[in-house]
Amino acid sequence: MIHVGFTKYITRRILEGIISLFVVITIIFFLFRVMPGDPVSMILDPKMTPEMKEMIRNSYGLNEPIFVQYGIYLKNIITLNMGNSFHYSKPVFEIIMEKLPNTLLLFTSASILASVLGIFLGRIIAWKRNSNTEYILSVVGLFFYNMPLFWLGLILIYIFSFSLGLFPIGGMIDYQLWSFNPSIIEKILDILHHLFLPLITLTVSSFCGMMFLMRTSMVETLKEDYVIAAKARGLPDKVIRNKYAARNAELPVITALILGISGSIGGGVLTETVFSWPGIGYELFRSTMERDYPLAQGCFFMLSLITIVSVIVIDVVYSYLDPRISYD
Amino acid sequence: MKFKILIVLLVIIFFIIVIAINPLSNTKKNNSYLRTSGITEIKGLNPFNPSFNDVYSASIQRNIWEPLYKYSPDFSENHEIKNSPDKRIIPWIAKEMPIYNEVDNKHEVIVKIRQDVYWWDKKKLTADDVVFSGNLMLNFGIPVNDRSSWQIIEGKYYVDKIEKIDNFTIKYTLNELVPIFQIGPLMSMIFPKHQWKPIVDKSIKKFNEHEETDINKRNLIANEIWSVDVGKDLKLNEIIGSGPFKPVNWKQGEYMRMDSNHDYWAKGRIIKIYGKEYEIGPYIDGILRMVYKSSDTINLVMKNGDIDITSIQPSDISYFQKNNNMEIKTCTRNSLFFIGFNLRKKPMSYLCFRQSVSYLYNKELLNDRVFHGRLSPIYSVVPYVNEYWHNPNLQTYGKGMNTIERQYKAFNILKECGFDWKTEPRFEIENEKPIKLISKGIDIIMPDGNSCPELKIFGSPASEVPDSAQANIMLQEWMNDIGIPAKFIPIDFGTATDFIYPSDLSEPNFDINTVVGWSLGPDPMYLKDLWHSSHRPEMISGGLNAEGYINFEYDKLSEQSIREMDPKKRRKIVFKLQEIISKEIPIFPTTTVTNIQVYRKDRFEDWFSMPTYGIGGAENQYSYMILKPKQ
Amino acid sequence: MNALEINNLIMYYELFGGNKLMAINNISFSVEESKTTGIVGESGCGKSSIASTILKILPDNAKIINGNIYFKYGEIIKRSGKVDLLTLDKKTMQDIRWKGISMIFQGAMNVLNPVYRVGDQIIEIMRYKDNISKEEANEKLEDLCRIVNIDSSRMKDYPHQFSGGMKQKAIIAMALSTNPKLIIADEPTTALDLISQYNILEQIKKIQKKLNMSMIFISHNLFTVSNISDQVVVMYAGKIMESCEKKKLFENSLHPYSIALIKSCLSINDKKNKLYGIPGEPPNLVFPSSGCAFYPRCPYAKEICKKIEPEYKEIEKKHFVACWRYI
Repeated sequence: MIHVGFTKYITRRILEGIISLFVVITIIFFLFRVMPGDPVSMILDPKMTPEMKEMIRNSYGLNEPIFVQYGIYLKNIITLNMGNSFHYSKPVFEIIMEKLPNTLLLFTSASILASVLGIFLGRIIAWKRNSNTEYILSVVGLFFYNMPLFWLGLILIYIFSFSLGLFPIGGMIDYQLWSFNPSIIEKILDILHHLFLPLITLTVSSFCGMMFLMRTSMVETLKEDYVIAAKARGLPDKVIRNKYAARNAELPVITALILGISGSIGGGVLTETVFSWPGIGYELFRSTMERDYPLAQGCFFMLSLITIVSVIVIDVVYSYLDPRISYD
Repeated sequence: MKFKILIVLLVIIFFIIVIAINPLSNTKKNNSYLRTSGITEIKGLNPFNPSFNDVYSASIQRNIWEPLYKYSPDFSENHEIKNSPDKRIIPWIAKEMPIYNEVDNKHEVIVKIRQDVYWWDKKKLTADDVVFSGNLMLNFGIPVNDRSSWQIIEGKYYVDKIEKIDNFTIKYTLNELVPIFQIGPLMSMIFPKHQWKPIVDKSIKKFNEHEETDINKRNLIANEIWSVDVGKDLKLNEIIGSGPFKPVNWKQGEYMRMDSNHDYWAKGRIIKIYGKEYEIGPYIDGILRMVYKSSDTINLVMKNGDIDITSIQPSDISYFQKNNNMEIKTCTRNSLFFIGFNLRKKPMSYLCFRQSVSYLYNKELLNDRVFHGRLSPIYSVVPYVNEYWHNPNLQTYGKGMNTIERQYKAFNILKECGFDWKTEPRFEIENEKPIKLISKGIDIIMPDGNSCPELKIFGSPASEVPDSAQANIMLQEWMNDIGIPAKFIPIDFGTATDFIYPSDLSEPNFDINTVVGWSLGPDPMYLKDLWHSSHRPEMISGGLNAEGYINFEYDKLSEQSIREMDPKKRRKIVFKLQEIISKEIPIFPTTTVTNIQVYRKDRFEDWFSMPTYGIGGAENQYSYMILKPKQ
Repeated sequence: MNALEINNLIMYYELFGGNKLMAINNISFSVEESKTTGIVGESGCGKSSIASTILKILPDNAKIINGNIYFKYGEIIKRSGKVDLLTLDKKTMQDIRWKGISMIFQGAMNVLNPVYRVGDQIIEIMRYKDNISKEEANEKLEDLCRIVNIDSSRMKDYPHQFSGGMKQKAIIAMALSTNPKLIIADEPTTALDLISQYNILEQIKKIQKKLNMSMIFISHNLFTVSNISDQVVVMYAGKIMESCEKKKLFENSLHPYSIALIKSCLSINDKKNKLYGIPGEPPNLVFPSSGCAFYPRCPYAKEICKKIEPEYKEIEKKHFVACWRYI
């Protein structure tokens, strides 16, 4: 499906993406300046004299006129340097690059797992509407879906980590193991070991959304002519379900999956808190609360970037999944 | 079909592997690292950076770089030295207490240092290092966080110069001798000249050609030095310190590992704590600090035995009490929570109004029922844990009274000074004692004839500090009962500081503030910074006198208090200052944090708890140095 | 001998609120072997519902409450002689579909799965139904292409790359692919221009003759129906008004509705005449009035038409009509 029209289309989408990114970062920049709370006056300490605060304010570059700050900010974004975090006194880019992969690892795998499960189950309950299977799966799914994530996480931690001792209570790595130079395999296994519970929590609590999305989408496709025609042809049920109904119903679920990954980064703070997962969601939350402008801006920038890239990825994926779509 | 079976098989294999990993990490059982944890991470190790002002960073830094003098480990609890401020300080790198001389209107202080202090790279710590470190402050104002103790007047150091007399003797020349000299310059960290001089020189060179004013140039150089990323630009294993623990492994936001310095120069030295003698180690292999992002998790980790020490919530006490391997110790911190009044606004400007709110706030009841011992009542802005400076003879505003009695008292105070109501609150009186509120007061009218506007009580939201929010709701109800229209406004810290401590010289805009709490140092010099009339935010950007308290007697006394060298006289002044605050109530001191710590006595022995500063409790530097693993 | 025989079939759709939409109201007709029965009527008269009922691909809210559908070729499901399709279980019905009865859907519908290649979909059904190898299926596909006159290389395309006519041809090819005994053609030419319509009709006719198949041809266009059918069934409001041989319909149609229908068709083809429409509203199938369904629009309506429904009666050989005028 890749041909000139496609390349042209994608180029156009990328250009559009860059423009929306620019708009987003501009809005973010000014939103943070308008937001109450001053990064320096938040460091409250009787030992902090006014003179020291002024010095810190200077070193943060907050004494420059706002448009000069904006110019510096834009320059920084273009060079992907994004300035230094107030909180860590470290380049924002470094922090994001350190935390983002952790978040992506957890949330991408959870989203994929939840989608696979959701598509699988959604297909069953759409096919067997008004059956016991649908009833049970809906109740179970909604139960976990409506359960607060941190609570579910804590319960799972309590059962599996605390009572049964099967999994670690939190974190992404065993700090004792890692500070004594383990082998690569040990490291990977250790991360998997730590990944397990948060992964299960996220999957269990979010598969239901995917399941119902799949169900709705599939109930719609079941009414499509080609499904009825396939039935008329006397094809086996499984073929109709999988190749005709589900295959076409999956498309919106895949959109939801890809967009969900970028969405989870911003909303991941609860999971990351419960499981002490060193991810970007927590940084985003903390830096916003502490008015750590450069880091918060950097996180939001990354978030927008990932969302925009996701949308383009959806387009590409779609052109493979749905032959009707062409970009001429 | 085959495909499905394959997937199921893979999942099962994944399960087995994942569960089976646990025993792989057998290294961790056979060591005696002290395992601690925290919700917040260590911000950074660069000792000069003002952003790294959290207690955890400070604690790590102070384990690497050491001062000339330290606070004695048991001050304020040991009655023998409690009343002598001199004895609260013990020489550390210094050999003996400093010698003070007065020469030509200037003060000279001679400090002799020990000759057996070694840096981690085996070089001797000499007077050069001390002079170099002191000059970093005098020339560039770093470490920024220590700066306030080097100055009495903003921007002017009372230390004139620091000179080397011989390799192990240093002379400080002071323009003025002030009490905080002992806890400021003499307690500042000493840095190895041979490590930091090249960094400083490089920074100076970078900005020397700049067309800048001297002060800007100095700030730029300081900025350059504190921006050195310790851990990356300066690698962890390259850090040169003199302290008992070396950082070896650090993943920010996750963990830090410090190994014991087995060649610690102070090893074998004897220190006396609570009359018992301890030999300094360190005996443990090191310290491992893990970040868990929620207190619930830390709790489980502690119960699970994955860490050795933590702070717990009051509700968990009974669980840990059952465990014989654990010991629980409460330690009251030197901190100050308060109700701050905006004195610029009516009715907060009426003293009787502030008195009546003080009576209404039943902190004993709250500590009992809401805080469950987590926040202990205090009656002075110098909490009782700081025993030497604490004035115990202050008005308690209703200690021992019940809520109805307090409301009745508050009502009467208001009535006496001219407040009026559309409908007065009515109390049922029996034997001249109020026993019941029959009906609430409605629409209070201030003495100037205007009705009272709705008062906003700024407080932390319940999602962050549930018990504090509950206390604020109760305060709101107590006030409403007698007709004061008050409303608790949950507000996030960042937004609150914008209202309470504006940085643009505008007037603070709040009614009643309970959001802020101070973590206090052992020296009461903060009394000046917090309520001196020149420290109002509208007078100076960054000023902390948000209440807008103006009292020239207080100004004069607080200025005296930071200059008076005679501890006894100084104590009298500090007592007087507390009395003034207690009487005039710009703020009403409410509580101080009580830390409930639990630690593993089966893994380590010789824990001891230390109040008043740092992380506090058993997680203090002395404890780390003398802690012994149990076999 | 009848290939298919429908007796007293009643089917309704259950609507929200419990109302019933009587889609097929007591219908009987038959399809002779190797012959074509055409069903004609306005849209919404229930003619397509007959097709869905025969193949049992009705939506969930459809209820069949009475009738038989006898299909001659029991051997397809290893039984001898006639079988009643309505009594078959799901599994057996699967086997009847496409081997016994196949269907040509309207080309305007999305009958082809948009995400698979057209050729693959035809091969798929052949392989499931006839258990043949990929190569055999491919060969047969080439044949089918020749029959319906499509360039066989286009079979690698996706449905959306097909024009309306080609889609229709592909659907016809698909219906023919398994050599069914009976084909139901549901408005197979409606979406096409006149020339394609003609071509396709001719092709269908040819194929039918060649493969000796029976056919039900459903259309709202009387001319198309009469062109291809041997027997014509005129439906109105879920009921059969008249059923007769094609010739008779034009020569001697009896039912007022049939007459009106023929008149309106003629008026379109004859430019001199004014357009003729049947006055009045189409019937309400949810709240049917008593009596004859056509009564409100019938120019010959009598008092009795309003009260009692006329019987569907054979008044001469192979000529049935339901009208009080002929009783």
